Amino acid sequence: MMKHSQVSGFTLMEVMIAMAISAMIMTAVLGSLDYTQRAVDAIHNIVETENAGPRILEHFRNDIAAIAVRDAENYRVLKGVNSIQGGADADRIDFLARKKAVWATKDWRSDRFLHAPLVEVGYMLRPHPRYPEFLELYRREDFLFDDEPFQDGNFSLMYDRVIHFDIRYYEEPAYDPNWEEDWDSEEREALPYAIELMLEIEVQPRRSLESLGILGANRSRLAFDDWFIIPDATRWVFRNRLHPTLTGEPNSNPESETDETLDGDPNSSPDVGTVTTSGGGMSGFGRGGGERGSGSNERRGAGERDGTRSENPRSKSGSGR
Amino acid sequence: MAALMLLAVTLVTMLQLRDSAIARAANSRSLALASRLGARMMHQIEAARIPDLFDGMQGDFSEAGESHLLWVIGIGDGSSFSGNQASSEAEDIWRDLKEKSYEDLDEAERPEFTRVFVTVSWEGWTGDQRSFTLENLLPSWAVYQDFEAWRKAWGSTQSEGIE
Repeated sequence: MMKHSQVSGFTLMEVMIAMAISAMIMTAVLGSLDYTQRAVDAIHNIVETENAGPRILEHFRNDIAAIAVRDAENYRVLKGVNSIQGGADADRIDFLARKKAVWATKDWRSDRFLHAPLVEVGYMLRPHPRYPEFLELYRREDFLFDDEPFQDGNFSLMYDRVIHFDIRYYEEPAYDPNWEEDWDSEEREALPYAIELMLEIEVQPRRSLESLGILGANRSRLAFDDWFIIPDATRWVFRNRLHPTLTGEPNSNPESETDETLDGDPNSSPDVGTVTTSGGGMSGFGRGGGERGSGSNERRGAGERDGTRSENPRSKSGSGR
Repeated sequence: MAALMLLAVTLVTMLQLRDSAIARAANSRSLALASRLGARMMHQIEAARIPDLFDGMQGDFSEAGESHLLWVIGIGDGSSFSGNQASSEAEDIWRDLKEKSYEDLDEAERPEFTRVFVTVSWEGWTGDQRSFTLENLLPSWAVYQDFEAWRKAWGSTQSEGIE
């Protein structure tokens, strides 16, 4: 007699229940992963875009706080020029700063790259090459200083979607203080007591639709403004011309002896900004031929060459807000 | 039944972790905003741009689009609006640093400083109250908008002939 074989297995009901549980688990896991990705994108948008403005302001603050007033042999320490590009404020400011240079310069005698302790610093804009509604913000830095302290140097791109960049200079505090759109410390023989910087930038959210409901990261245009105080003691030292320590002669600049590019040095990259550039590619800022430290007297000022220094239709000064 | 229990526990844990991550991210953003806006307010005070300043002055940052962030300004060492910084030992260090920046001046010409606190508070993701306090020593003329004192000390733009 044939023995009835006992075949082990799952019933249809068991398989159905197992599949349902598996589907629930998979749905939960995928949903969680998707939500996590949205959170990551939202955090990215906040960190990379919403903080871009404060980073620019903080960098400017560090530079202007180090304004060098003891080392100039004359009053050519700070120059701010009002400028309009494409209907938007695109002001320029240049000054001397006693701080460690971001860019390194090669010293041929010791075959080492050096960071200058005193630099020319500038902030300037030019039209975006592809998007005319935006401006590119660059930071200029030049080794020590020469007879043209407000020109030439290395340019670092800080942000490429600037909508406006407006700088106001306040001569003295008051309840309703007047401001100036331009400032030349050589003409005035004085420094402003405060500088106000207004900045508006466009941000580009990574997944804008998904980020709409999370953490408020759905704004595309962000405006920032801040105040930068030049300490009273610094203004006092500048006014009284204390302790000139460097002569500022062109030959005292080691850069004038070399035209070597610094691109090969890993330490020469700035610590901020997404893209850096050096040399003569900056057609918008009056760098001719990529040479530094020589023949600067023959060059014209930034913006004069390409017409970026247009007249401001507004009044040159106004009253406080 | 055991499998179902395990599944339920896993799902609940995952949801709690997700909520916790979101709460931390939201708090992180609020903290960054509070820090930035509080520092901006401190810079405005330093520039003497806030009129009629008094201890306990308060408001929100709706002008900057962040109405959920509230601020309170505390003035002076004994201010009750100083957050958790009332017993800070940083003041002596800061005073030394400030005084060093004025070492070129005679003692009589050195400015007075006032301790200023800016406390920014907001409601957390879970409804708890959070706050962040900035502390600084600012020239007293700027805090109280004493422009006459500023002009006496610093107002002249003419050189005093010191070489």
